[in-house]
Amino acid sequence: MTEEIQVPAASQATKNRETFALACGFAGWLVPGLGHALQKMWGRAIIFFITVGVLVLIGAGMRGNVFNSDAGDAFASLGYLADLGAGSFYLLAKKVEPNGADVSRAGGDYGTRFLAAAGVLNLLSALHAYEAARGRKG
Amino acid sequence: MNVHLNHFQAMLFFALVISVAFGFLSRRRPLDRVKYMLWSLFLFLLVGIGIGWAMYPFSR
Repeated sequence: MTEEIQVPAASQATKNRETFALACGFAGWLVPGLGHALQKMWGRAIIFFITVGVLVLIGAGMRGNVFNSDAGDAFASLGYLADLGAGSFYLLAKKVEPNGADVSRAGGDYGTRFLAAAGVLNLLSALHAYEAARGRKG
Repeated sequence: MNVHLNHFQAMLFFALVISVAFGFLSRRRPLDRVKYMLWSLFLFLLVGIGIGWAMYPFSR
C-alpha cells in the first residue's frame, strides 16, 4: 500500500528535478554563471561570469570576428555556433565592437579565438550546471 | 574600447583565464582547484611556447 503511494511521488520528484536541471542549463547558457547561482554554487557562478565576460570583452576589444547567422562557409557557421554559446554575452560582444572586426592584424585573429573560447566555455559551464542539478556532479 | 596585446600577452591571458575556469569546473576543494589551475597553466604555457619554438625554423 505504501509503495503504491510512494512510486508516483518519486516519479513527480524526478520530473521536477529534471525540469529544474533543464532550467539551470538554459539559464547558465543565457547568462554565464546563472545556472550555478540558481543552485547556490556561488564560487563557480562568479568565476564563470567573470571568465566568460572577460574573454568576450577582451576578444571584442581586440576587434575579433563576431560571426553572424548569414555565414558564408562551414567555418563561419561553426564560428557562429561557438560565439552563440556565450548566450546574452554574444550581444554584448556586438555592442562593444561598433566598428566591426579587423582580422588583418594578429590581434583581431586572437580576438576571434577569445570570443569562440568564451562561447565554448559557457556551453561547458551550462552543461555542468545541468548535470549538477541532476545530481551527477558535485 | 581598443585592446592591444602582443602574442605572449595574448597567450598568457588565454592560458590564465581558461586554467581558472577549468579549475573551478573540474575540482571541488579549494586546494585541489589551485593545484589544477597551476598545473594546467603550466601545461598551456609549455605547449604554447614549445609549439612556438617548433615553428621557429619555418618562420622565414
